[in-house]
Amino acid sequence: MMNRSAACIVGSLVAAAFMNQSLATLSFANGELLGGEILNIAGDVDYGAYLAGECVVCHRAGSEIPTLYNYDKTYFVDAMVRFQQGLRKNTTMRDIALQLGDEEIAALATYFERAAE
Amino acid sequence: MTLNRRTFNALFGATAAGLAMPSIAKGAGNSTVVVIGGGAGGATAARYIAKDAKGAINVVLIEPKTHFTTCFFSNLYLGGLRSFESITHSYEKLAQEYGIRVVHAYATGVDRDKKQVRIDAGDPIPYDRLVISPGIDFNYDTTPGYNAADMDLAPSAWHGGEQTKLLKAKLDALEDGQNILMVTPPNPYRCPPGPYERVSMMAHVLKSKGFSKSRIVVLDPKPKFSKQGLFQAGWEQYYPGMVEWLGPDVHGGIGNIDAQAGIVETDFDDFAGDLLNVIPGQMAGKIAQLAGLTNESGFCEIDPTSMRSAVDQNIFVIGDSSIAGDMPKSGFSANSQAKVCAMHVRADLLDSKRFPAKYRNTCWSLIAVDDGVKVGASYGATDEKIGKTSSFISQAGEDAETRAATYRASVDWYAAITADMFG
Repeated sequence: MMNRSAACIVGSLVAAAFMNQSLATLSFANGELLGGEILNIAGDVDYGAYLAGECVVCHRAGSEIPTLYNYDKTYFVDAMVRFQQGLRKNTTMRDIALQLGDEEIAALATYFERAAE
Repeated sequence: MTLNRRTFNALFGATAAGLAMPSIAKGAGNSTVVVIGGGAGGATAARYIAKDAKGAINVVLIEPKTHFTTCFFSNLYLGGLRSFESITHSYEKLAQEYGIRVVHAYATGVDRDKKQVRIDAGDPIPYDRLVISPGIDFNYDTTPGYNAADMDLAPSAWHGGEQTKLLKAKLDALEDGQNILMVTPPNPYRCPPGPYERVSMMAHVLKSKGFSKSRIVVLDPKPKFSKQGLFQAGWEQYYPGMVEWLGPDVHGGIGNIDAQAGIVETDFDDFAGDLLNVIPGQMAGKIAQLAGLTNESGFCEIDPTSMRSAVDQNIFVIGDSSIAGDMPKSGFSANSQAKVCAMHVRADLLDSKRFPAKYRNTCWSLIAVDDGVKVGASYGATDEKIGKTSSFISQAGEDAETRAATYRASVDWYAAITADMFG
Protein backbone atom coordinates (compact mmCIF):
# COMPACT_ATOMS: atom_id res chain seq x y z
CA MET A 1 0.00 0.00 0.00
CA MET A 2 1.21 3.46 -0.87
CA ASN A 3 2.07 5.76 2.01
CA ARG A 4 1.30 9.48 1.98
CA SER A 5 4.76 10.58 0.86
CA ALA A 6 4.75 8.21 -2.03
CA ALA A 7 1.23 9.25 -2.91
CA CYS A 8 2.33 12.90 -2.86
CA ILE A 9 5.17 12.23 -5.23
CA VAL A 10 2.98 10.27 -7.60
CA GLY A 11 0.30 12.94 -7.24
CA SER A 12 2.77 15.65 -8.20
CA LEU A 13 3.90 13.76 -11.24
CA VAL A 14 0.36 13.09 -12.32
CA ALA A 15 -0.61 16.71 -11.73
CA ALA A 16 2.41 17.99 -13.62
CA ALA A 17 1.64 15.74 -16.53
CA PHE A 18 -1.96 16.89 -16.74
CA MET A 19 -1.44 20.51 -15.69
CA ASN A 20 -2.31 21.97 -19.07
CA GLN A 21 -5.55 20.08 -19.39
CA SER A 22 -7.34 22.14 -16.72
CA LEU A 23 -8.88 19.09 -15.19
CA ALA A 24 -10.95 19.67 -12.09
CA THR A 25 -10.02 16.28 -10.80
CA LEU A 26 -7.20 13.93 -11.52
CA SER A 27 -7.09 10.26 -10.78
CA PHE A 28 -4.18 8.52 -9.20
CA ALA A 29 -3.46 5.37 -7.30
CA ASN A 30 -4.78 6.65 -3.97
CA GLY A 31 -8.09 7.91 -5.34
CA GLU A 32 -9.15 11.20 -6.87
CA LEU A 33 -6.88 14.21 -6.63
CA LEU A 34 -8.98 17.35 -6.36
CA GLY A 35 -8.37 20.98 -7.24
CA GLY A 36 -6.54 20.59 -10.53
CA GLU A 37 -7.84 23.95 -11.73
CA ILE A 38 -6.24 25.67 -8.72
CA LEU A 39 -2.87 24.25 -9.70
CA ASN A 40 -3.14 26.22 -12.94
CA ILE A 41 -3.16 29.50 -10.98
CA ALA A 42 0.24 31.10 -10.49
CA GLY A 43 0.30 31.56 -6.72
CA ASP A 44 1.54 34.89 -5.31
CA VAL A 45 4.34 33.89 -2.94
CA ASP A 46 4.18 37.13 -0.95
CA TYR A 47 0.46 36.70 -0.45
CA GLY A 48 1.07 33.10 0.54
CA ALA A 49 3.70 34.17 3.06
CA TYR A 50 1.21 36.56 4.63
CA LEU A 51 -1.65 34.05 4.69
CA ALA A 52 0.66 31.37 6.11
CA GLY A 53 0.76 33.31 9.37
CA GLU A 54 -2.65 31.83 10.10
CA CYS A 55 -1.45 28.27 9.48
CA VAL A 56 1.78 28.21 11.44
CA VAL A 57 0.05 29.12 14.67
CA CYS A 58 -1.03 25.44 14.80
CA HIS A 59 0.99 23.55 12.18
CA ARG A 60 4.47 22.71 13.34
CA ALA A 61 7.16 20.09 12.78
CA GLY A 62 7.06 17.21 15.24
CA SER A 63 3.43 17.71 16.14
CA GLU A 64 0.23 15.82 15.33
CA ILE A 65 -0.79 18.89 13.31
CA PRO A 66 1.86 18.52 10.60
CA THR A 67 4.22 21.19 9.37
CA LEU A 68 3.27 22.62 5.99
CA TYR A 69 6.74 23.72 5.00
CA ASN A 70 8.09 21.93 1.93
CA TYR A 71 4.60 20.52 1.53
CA ASP A 72 3.69 18.99 -1.77
CA LYS A 73 1.65 21.59 -3.65
CA THR A 74 -0.66 19.08 -5.27
CA TYR A 75 -1.48 17.39 -2.02
CA PHE A 76 -1.97 20.75 -0.29
CA VAL A 77 -4.52 21.85 -2.87
CA ASP A 78 -6.26 18.48 -2.78
CA ALA A 79 -6.51 18.65 1.00
CA MET A 80 -7.96 22.17 1.01
CA VAL A 81 -10.58 21.27 -1.58
CA ARG A 82 -11.50 18.16 0.39
CA PHE A 83 -12.01 20.27 3.52
CA GLN A 84 -14.13 22.71 1.51
CA GLN A 85 -16.29 19.90 0.17
CA GLY A 86 -16.67 18.22 3.54
CA LEU A 87 -14.79 15.13 2.38
CA ARG A 88 -12.34 15.73 5.22
CA LYS A 89 -14.08 16.35 8.51
CA ASN A 90 -11.86 18.43 10.84
CA THR A 91 -14.17 21.28 11.86
CA THR A 92 -11.38 23.80 12.32
CA MET A 93 -9.83 23.08 8.95
CA ARG A 94 -13.17 23.00 7.19
CA ASP A 95 -14.00 26.45 8.56
CA ILE A 96 -10.59 27.78 7.52
CA ALA A 97 -10.72 26.24 4.04
CA LEU A 98 -14.15 27.68 3.36
CA GLN A 99 -12.73 31.16 3.94
CA LEU A 100 -10.14 30.72 1.20
CA GLY A 101 -10.69 31.40 -2.48
CA ASP A 102 -8.79 29.67 -5.28
CA GLU A 103 -6.22 32.49 -5.50
CA GLU A 104 -5.50 32.18 -1.81
CA ILE A 105 -5.14 28.41 -1.87
CA ALA A 106 -2.79 28.72 -4.84
CA ALA A 107 -0.76 31.39 -3.00
CA LEU A 108 -0.46 29.22 0.10
CA ALA A 109 0.38 26.09 -1.85
CA THR A 110 3.09 27.93 -3.77
CA TYR A 111 4.55 29.51 -0.65
CA PHE A 112 4.65 26.36 1.43
CA GLU A 113 6.16 24.24 -1.34
CA ARG A 114 9.06 26.66 -1.64
CA ALA A 115 9.56 27.72 1.96
CA ALA A 116 11.72 26.03 4.57
CA GLU A 117 10.71 26.18 8.23
CA MET B 1 24.25 47.62 -10.00
CA THR B 2 23.50 50.62 -7.87
CA LEU B 3 22.88 49.93 -4.23
CA ASN B 4 20.04 51.94 -2.80
CA ARG B 5 19.29 51.78 0.87
CA ARG B 6 16.76 49.01 0.58
CA THR B 7 18.79 46.65 -1.55
CA PHE B 8 21.81 47.34 0.60
CA ASN B 9 19.85 46.50 3.71
CA ALA B 10 18.33 43.44 2.14
CA LEU B 11 21.71 42.11 1.07
CA PHE B 12 23.54 43.14 4.17
CA GLY B 13 20.75 42.01 6.46
CA ALA B 14 20.62 38.60 4.82
CA THR B 15 24.37 38.20 5.17
CA ALA B 16 24.33 39.24 8.77
CA ALA B 17 21.48 36.85 9.56
CA GLY B 18 23.43 34.08 7.86
CA LEU B 19 26.38 34.77 10.08
CA ALA B 20 24.16 34.99 13.15
CA MET B 21 25.38 38.50 13.84
CA PRO B 22 22.09 40.32 14.03
CA SER B 23 23.53 43.41 15.68
CA ILE B 24 25.43 44.18 12.50
CA ALA B 25 22.18 44.13 10.58
CA LYS B 26 20.99 47.21 12.41
CA GLY B 27 21.71 49.83 9.82
CA ALA B 28 22.13 53.33 11.18
CA GLY B 29 19.79 54.75 8.55
CA ASN B 30 17.05 52.19 9.09
CA SER B 31 13.60 53.02 10.32
CA THR B 32 12.84 51.95 13.88
CA VAL B 33 9.76 50.17 15.13
CA VAL B 34 9.20 50.13 18.88
CA VAL B 35 6.90 47.47 20.29
CA ILE B 36 5.52 47.88 23.81
CA GLY B 37 4.58 44.60 25.47
CA GLY B 38 6.10 41.17 24.94
CA GLY B 39 3.00 38.98 25.03
CA ALA B 40 1.06 37.23 22.30
CA GLY B 41 0.57 40.47 20.36
CA GLY B 42 3.83 42.29 20.92
CA ALA B 43 6.26 39.39 20.71
CA THR B 44 4.60 38.17 17.51
CA ALA B 45 4.61 41.64 15.93
CA ALA B 46 8.26 42.19 16.83
CA ARG B 47 9.28 38.81 15.47
CA TYR B 48 7.32 39.10 12.21
CA ILE B 49 8.54 42.63 11.49
CA ALA B 50 12.15 41.64 12.17
CA LYS B 51 11.88 38.33 10.32
CA ASP B 52 10.24 39.72 7.19
CA ALA B 53 12.20 42.98 7.02
CA LYS B 54 15.44 40.96 7.01
CA GLY B 55 17.44 43.62 8.78
CA ALA B 56 15.91 46.62 7.00
CA ILE B 57 13.97 47.75 10.07
CA ASN B 58 15.37 48.14 13.57
CA VAL B 59 12.98 46.53 16.06
CA VAL B 60 12.95 47.42 19.75
CA LEU B 61 10.78 45.40 22.15
CA ILE B 62 10.02 47.01 25.51
CA GLU B 63 8.96 44.45 28.11
CA PRO B 64 9.72 44.64 31.83
CA LYS B 65 9.85 40.90 32.43
CA THR B 66 12.82 38.79 31.38
CA HIS B 67 10.57 35.73 31.09
CA PHE B 68 6.97 35.62 30.00
CA THR B 69 4.44 33.23 31.53
CA THR B 70 1.42 32.84 29.29
CA CYS B 71 -2.07 33.35 30.63
CA PHE B 72 -3.31 30.79 28.14
CA PHE B 73 -2.70 27.28 29.50
CA SER B 74 -2.22 28.72 33.02
CA ASN B 75 -5.42 26.89 33.97
CA LEU B 76 -3.72 23.62 33.02
CA TYR B 77 -0.94 24.53 35.42
CA LEU B 78 -3.58 25.14 38.10
CA GLY B 79 -5.01 21.72 37.32
CA GLY B 80 -1.63 20.05 37.69
CA LEU B 81 -1.46 19.13 34.00
CA ARG B 82 1.40 21.48 33.02
CA SER B 83 4.49 22.68 34.84
CA PHE B 84 5.08 26.39 35.42
CA GLU B 85 8.27 26.12 33.37
CA SER B 86 6.34 24.73 30.40
CA ILE B 87 4.25 27.91 30.18
CA THR B 88 7.18 30.28 30.74
CA HIS B 89 9.27 31.59 27.85
CA SER B 90 12.46 33.55 27.29
CA TYR B 91 13.11 36.48 24.95
CA GLU B 92 16.62 35.26 24.14
CA LYS B 93 15.83 33.96 20.67
CA LEU B 94 14.12 37.18 19.67
CA ALA B 95 17.30 39.04 20.61
CA GLN B 96 19.86 36.57 19.35
CA GLU B 97 18.26 35.10 16.25
CA TYR B 98 16.11 37.99 15.06
CA GLY B 99 18.27 40.93 16.07
CA ILE B 100 15.52 42.50 18.15
CA ARG B 101 16.72 44.90 20.83
CA VAL B 102 14.85 43.72 23.92
CA VAL B 103 14.67 46.43 26.57
CA HIS B 104 13.57 45.20 29.98
CA ALA B 105 11.90 48.33 31.31
CA TYR B 106 8.46 49.80 31.86
CA ALA B 107 7.15 52.16 29.19
CA THR B 108 6.04 55.17 31.23
CA GLY B 109 4.73 57.43 28.49
CA VAL B 110 4.55 58.18 24.79
CA ASP B 111 5.44 61.58 23.35
CA ARG B 112 3.45 61.33 20.14
CA ASP B 113 4.71 64.65 18.73
CA LYS B 114 8.36 63.74 19.16
CA LYS B 115 7.61 60.08 18.39
CA GLN B 116 9.40 58.81 21.49
CA VAL B 117 8.61 56.25 24.17
CA ARG B 118 9.68 57.13 27.70
CA ILE B 119 10.89 54.27 29.89
CA ASP B 120 11.64 54.01 33.59
CA ALA B 121 15.22 52.86 33.10
CA GLY B 122 17.00 54.73 30.34
CA ASP B 123 16.70 57.40 27.69
CA PRO B 124 13.53 57.85 25.63
CA ILE B 125 13.39 55.55 22.62
CA PRO B 126 12.49 57.17 19.28
CA TYR B 127 10.26 55.39 16.79
CA ASP B 128 9.02 55.68 13.23
CA ARG B 129 6.16 53.33 13.99
CA LEU B 130 4.96 52.24 17.43
CA VAL B 131 3.11 49.02 18.19
CA ILE B 132 1.30 48.97 21.52
CA SER B 133 0.29 45.61 22.96
CA PRO B 134 0.19 45.99 26.73
CA GLY B 135 -2.66 43.59 27.45
CA ILE B 136 -5.18 44.56 30.10
CA ASP B 137 -5.33 46.53 33.29
CA PHE B 138 -8.06 46.22 35.88
CA ASN B 139 -11.04 48.47 36.40
CA TYR B 140 -11.70 48.16 40.13
CA ASP B 141 -14.98 50.06 39.83
CA THR B 142 -16.48 46.66 39.04
CA THR B 143 -15.29 45.12 42.32
CA PRO B 144 -16.30 47.40 45.21
CA GLY B 145 -13.95 47.01 48.16
CA TYR B 146 -11.40 45.06 46.15
CA ASN B 147 -8.32 46.64 44.57
CA ALA B 148 -4.68 45.98 43.69
CA ALA B 149 -3.68 45.80 47.36
CA ASP B 150 -5.88 42.70 47.77
CA MET B 151 -4.16 40.68 45.05
CA ASP B 152 -2.05 38.75 47.57
CA LEU B 153 -5.03 37.80 49.71
CA ALA B 154 -7.40 37.08 46.87
CA PRO B 155 -5.40 36.69 43.66
CA SER B 156 -7.02 37.46 40.35
CA ALA B 157 -4.37 35.47 38.48
CA TRP B 158 -5.55 37.20 35.31
CA HIS B 159 -2.01 38.29 34.58
CA GLY B 160 0.28 35.29 34.07
CA GLY B 161 3.24 34.62 36.36
CA GLU B 162 3.42 35.18 40.10
CA GLN B 163 -0.34 35.59 40.48
CA THR B 164 -0.87 32.23 38.81
CA LYS B 165 1.62 30.62 41.21
CA LEU B 166 -0.07 32.23 44.18
CA LEU B 167 -3.51 30.99 43.18
CA LYS B 168 -2.16 27.47 42.70
CA ALA B 169 -0.50 27.52 46.11
CA LYS B 170 -3.78 28.56 47.71
CA LEU B 171 -5.70 25.94 45.73
CA ASP B 172 -3.28 23.17 46.71
CA ALA B 173 -3.48 24.20 50.39
CA LEU B 174 -7.24 23.69 50.62
CA GLU B 175 -8.59 20.88 52.77
CA ASP B 176 -11.75 18.90 52.18
CA GLY B 177 -14.73 20.97 53.22
CA GLN B 178 -13.08 24.29 52.44
CA ASN B 179 -14.73 26.22 49.63
CA ILE B 180 -13.70 28.30 46.66
CA LEU B 181 -15.54 31.54 45.90
CA MET B 182 -14.96 33.10 42.54
CA VAL B 183 -16.06 36.46 41.14
CA THR B 184 -15.90 36.55 37.35
CA PRO B 185 -15.56 39.73 35.28
CA PRO B 186 -18.11 41.66 33.23
CA ASN B 187 -17.66 41.90 29.46
CA PRO B 188 -15.39 42.70 27.73
CA TYR B 189 -12.49 40.83 29.25
CA ARG B 190 -9.45 38.74 28.34
CA CYS B 191 -10.18 35.10 27.46
CA PRO B 192 -13.99 34.72 27.60
CA PRO B 193 -14.01 30.97 28.44
CA GLY B 194 -11.01 31.33 30.79
CA PRO B 195 -12.85 31.70 34.11
CA TYR B 196 -14.95 28.62 33.40
CA GLU B 197 -12.00 26.52 32.33
CA ARG B 198 -10.45 27.64 35.61
CA VAL B 199 -13.50 26.39 37.49
CA SER B 200 -13.10 23.06 35.69
CA MET B 201 -9.42 22.72 36.52
CA MET B 202 -9.90 23.71 40.17
CA ALA B 203 -12.71 21.15 40.41
CA HIS B 204 -10.38 18.59 38.83
CA VAL B 205 -7.83 19.22 41.59
CA LEU B 206 -10.42 18.89 44.36
CA LYS B 207 -11.84 15.71 42.82
CA SER B 208 -8.37 14.22 42.30
CA LYS B 209 -7.69 14.64 46.02
CA GLY B 210 -10.90 12.79 46.82
CA PHE B 211 -12.57 15.83 48.32
CA SER B 212 -16.31 15.32 48.72
CA LYS B 213 -17.32 18.31 50.84
CA SER B 214 -15.63 21.27 49.10
CA ARG B 215 -17.66 23.45 46.74
CA ILE B 216 -16.89 26.06 44.09
CA VAL B 217 -19.35 28.96 43.96
CA VAL B 218 -19.13 31.31 40.99
CA LEU B 219 -20.67 34.77 41.27
CA ASP B 220 -21.03 36.06 37.73
CA PRO B 221 -22.10 39.59 36.75
CA LYS B 222 -23.09 38.22 33.33
CA PRO B 223 -26.34 36.35 32.58
CA LYS B 224 -24.54 33.96 30.23
CA PHE B 225 -20.98 33.02 29.32
CA SER B 226 -18.81 31.48 26.61
CA LYS B 227 -19.40 27.77 25.89
CA GLN B 228 -21.88 27.76 28.78
CA GLY B 229 -23.74 24.62 27.71
CA LEU B 230 -20.52 22.66 27.22
CA PHE B 231 -19.05 23.74 30.56
CA GLN B 232 -22.19 23.16 32.59
CA ALA B 233 -22.72 19.71 31.05
CA GLY B 234 -19.08 18.91 31.85
CA TRP B 235 -19.37 20.08 35.46
CA GLU B 236 -22.44 17.89 35.90
CA GLN B 237 -20.68 14.92 34.31
CA TYR B 238 -17.31 15.11 36.07
CA TYR B 239 -17.89 17.12 39.22
CA PRO B 240 -21.54 16.55 40.19
CA GLY B 241 -22.72 18.85 42.95
CA MET B 242 -19.35 20.56 43.29
CA VAL B 243 -19.86 23.66 41.12
CA GLU B 244 -22.57 26.25 41.65
CA TRP B 245 -22.77 29.05 39.06
CA LEU B 246 -24.93 32.02 40.02
CA GLY B 247 -25.84 34.67 37.46
CA PRO B 248 -27.20 38.13 38.20
CA ASP B 249 -30.81 36.93 38.12
CA VAL B 250 -29.96 34.91 41.25
CA HIS B 251 -27.49 37.08 43.19
CA GLY B 252 -28.97 40.39 42.03
CA GLY B 253 -25.66 42.22 41.78
CA ILE B 254 -22.21 42.02 43.34
CA GLY B 255 -21.66 44.33 46.28
CA ASN B 256 -18.76 44.80 48.64
CA ILE B 257 -15.84 42.37 48.48
CA ASP B 258 -13.89 41.80 51.71
CA ALA B 259 -10.72 40.01 50.68
CA GLN B 260 -9.46 39.72 54.27
CA ALA B 261 -12.60 37.98 55.47
CA GLY B 262 -13.19 36.11 52.21
CA ILE B 263 -16.74 37.46 51.97
CA VAL B 264 -18.58 38.82 48.96
CA GLU B 265 -21.86 40.64 49.50
CA THR B 266 -24.58 40.46 46.88
CA ASP B 267 -28.12 41.77 46.73
CA PHE B 268 -29.31 38.24 47.48
CA ASP B 269 -26.97 37.09 50.24
CA ASP B 270 -23.40 37.15 51.56
CA PHE B 271 -21.09 34.45 50.25
CA ALA B 272 -17.93 33.20 51.95
CA GLY B 273 -14.95 31.31 50.57
CA ASP B 274 -11.74 29.93 52.02
CA LEU B 275 -10.14 30.68 48.69
CA LEU B 276 -11.35 33.88 47.06
CA ASN B 277 -10.53 34.40 43.39
CA VAL B 278 -11.65 37.81 42.12
CA ILE B 279 -11.27 38.78 38.45
CA PRO B 280 -12.11 42.48 38.11
CA GLY B 281 -13.43 44.21 35.02
CA GLN B 282 -10.84 45.22 32.50
CA MET B 283 -9.55 48.04 30.32
CA ALA B 284 -6.59 48.70 28.05
CA GLY B 285 -3.11 48.47 29.56
CA LYS B 286 -2.07 51.66 31.32
CA ILE B 287 0.43 52.79 28.68
CA ALA B 288 -2.37 52.87 26.09
CA GLN B 289 -4.30 55.18 28.38
CA LEU B 290 -1.24 57.35 29.08
CA ALA B 291 -0.61 57.64 25.34
CA GLY B 292 -4.11 59.02 24.87
CA LEU B 293 -5.22 56.17 22.63
CA THR B 294 -8.26 54.96 24.58
CA ASN B 295 -11.85 56.11 24.22
CA GLU B 296 -14.65 56.23 26.80
CA SER B 297 -14.83 52.42 26.80
CA GLY B 298 -11.30 52.21 28.21
CA PHE B 299 -10.03 50.45 25.08
CA CYS B 300 -8.45 51.66 21.83
CA GLU B 301 -10.23 52.23 18.55
CA ILE B 302 -8.41 50.84 15.55
CA ASP B 303 -8.76 50.73 11.77
CA PRO B 304 -10.10 47.20 11.15
CA THR B 305 -8.10 46.86 7.93
CA SER B 306 -4.72 47.32 9.62
CA MET B 307 -4.93 47.55 13.46
CA ARG B 308 -3.70 51.15 13.11
CA SER B 309 -4.83 53.44 15.93
CA ALA B 310 -7.82 55.58 15.02
CA VAL B 311 -6.15 58.58 16.66
CA ASP B 312 -2.50 58.33 15.55
CA GLN B 313 -1.36 57.10 12.13
CA ASN B 314 2.10 56.19 13.44
CA ILE B 315 0.76 53.85 16.12
CA PHE B 316 -0.82 50.41 15.96
CA VAL B 317 -2.72 48.88 18.88
CA ILE B 318 -3.08 45.10 18.98
CA GLY B 319 -4.29 42.47 21.40
CA ASP B 320 -6.46 42.93 24.47
CA SER B 321 -6.14 46.73 24.48
CA SER B 322 -7.74 47.13 21.06
CA ILE B 323 -11.41 47.31 20.16
CA ALA B 324 -11.34 44.41 17.76
CA GLY B 325 -15.01 44.19 16.83
CA ASP B 326 -16.28 40.65 16.91
CA MET B 327 -12.95 39.15 17.96
CA PRO B 328 -12.62 38.00 21.56
CA LYS B 329 -9.67 39.14 23.62
CA SER B 330 -7.33 36.16 23.49
CA GLY B 331 -3.72 35.22 22.86
CA PHE B 332 -4.74 33.70 19.54
CA SER B 333 -6.51 36.92 18.51
CA ALA B 334 -3.53 39.05 19.53
CA ASN B 335 -1.16 36.83 17.54
CA SER B 336 -3.45 37.07 14.50
CA GLN B 337 -3.78 40.85 14.78
CA ALA B 338 0.00 41.14 15.12
CA LYS B 339 0.48 39.65 11.66
CA VAL B 340 -1.89 42.13 10.03
CA CYS B 341 -0.15 44.93 11.91
CA ALA B 342 3.33 43.68 10.94
CA MET B 343 2.35 43.57 7.27
CA HIS B 344 1.21 47.21 7.37
CA VAL B 345 4.21 48.40 9.38
CA ARG B 346 6.54 46.92 6.77
CA ALA B 347 4.45 48.39 3.96
CA ASP B 348 4.60 51.82 5.63
CA LEU B 349 8.38 51.72 5.99
CA LEU B 350 9.58 49.53 3.11
CA ASP B 351 6.79 49.85 0.52
CA SER B 352 6.14 46.10 0.67
CA LYS B 353 2.77 44.76 -0.50
CA ARG B 354 -0.43 45.12 1.48
CA PHE B 355 -3.06 42.38 1.44
CA PRO B 356 -6.62 42.29 2.78
CA ALA B 357 -6.69 41.71 6.53
CA LYS B 358 -7.65 38.20 7.60
CA TYR B 359 -8.04 37.41 11.26
CA ARG B 360 -8.68 34.20 13.11
CA ASN B 361 -9.22 32.95 16.63
CA THR B 362 -9.76 29.64 18.35
CA CYS B 363 -10.31 29.28 22.08
CA TRP B 364 -9.71 25.80 23.45
CA SER B 365 -10.84 24.87 26.94
CA LEU B 366 -10.23 21.79 29.02
CA ILE B 367 -13.19 20.59 31.07
CA ALA B 368 -11.56 17.43 32.44
CA VAL B 369 -8.50 15.37 31.57
CA ASP B 370 -8.69 14.59 27.83
CA ASP B 371 -12.03 16.38 27.45
CA GLY B 372 -11.27 19.46 25.37
CA VAL B 373 -13.73 21.77 23.63
CA LYS B 374 -13.19 24.61 21.21
CA VAL B 375 -14.87 27.63 19.72
CA GLY B 376 -13.38 29.46 16.78
CA ALA B 377 -14.08 31.92 14.02
CA SER B 378 -12.68 33.75 11.01
CA TYR B 379 -12.89 37.51 10.69
CA GLY B 380 -12.40 40.24 8.13
CA ALA B 381 -12.56 44.03 7.99
CA THR B 382 -15.91 45.68 7.30
CA ASP B 383 -16.46 49.43 7.04
CA GLU B 384 -17.22 49.64 10.75
CA LYS B 385 -15.29 46.91 12.52
CA ILE B 386 -13.57 43.55 12.45
CA GLY B 387 -16.53 41.34 11.60
CA LYS B 388 -17.04 37.62 11.96
CA THR B 389 -17.26 35.75 8.65
CA SER B 390 -17.74 32.20 9.95
CA SER B 391 -17.52 30.22 13.15
CA PHE B 392 -17.70 26.80 14.72
CA ILE B 393 -18.07 25.35 18.21
CA SER B 394 -17.71 21.90 19.77
CA GLN B 395 -21.00 20.09 20.05
CA ALA B 396 -22.66 18.64 23.13
CA GLY B 397 -22.42 14.87 23.32
CA GLU B 398 -19.28 14.47 21.20
CA ASP B 399 -17.54 11.11 21.67
CA ALA B 400 -14.50 10.76 23.92
CA GLU B 401 -12.04 10.46 21.03
CA THR B 402 -13.25 13.71 19.48
CA ARG B 403 -12.81 15.51 22.80
CA ALA B 404 -9.38 13.91 23.33
CA ALA B 405 -8.34 14.94 19.82
CA THR B 406 -9.48 18.50 20.52
CA TYR B 407 -7.30 18.56 23.62
CA ARG B 408 -4.31 17.17 21.72
CA ALA B 409 -4.84 19.86 19.07
CA SER B 410 -4.75 22.51 21.78
CA VAL B 411 -1.44 21.15 23.06
CA ASP B 412 -0.01 21.30 19.54
CA TRP B 413 -1.38 24.82 19.14
CA TYR B 414 0.32 25.90 22.36
CA ALA B 415 3.69 24.66 21.12
CA ALA B 416 3.16 26.31 17.74
CA ILE B 417 1.92 29.70 18.93
CA THR B 418 4.64 30.09 21.53
CA ALA B 419 7.23 29.23 18.86
CA ASP B 420 5.51 31.79 16.62
CA MET B 421 5.83 34.38 19.39
CA PHE B 422 9.29 33.71 20.76
CA GLY B 423 11.05 31.95 17.86
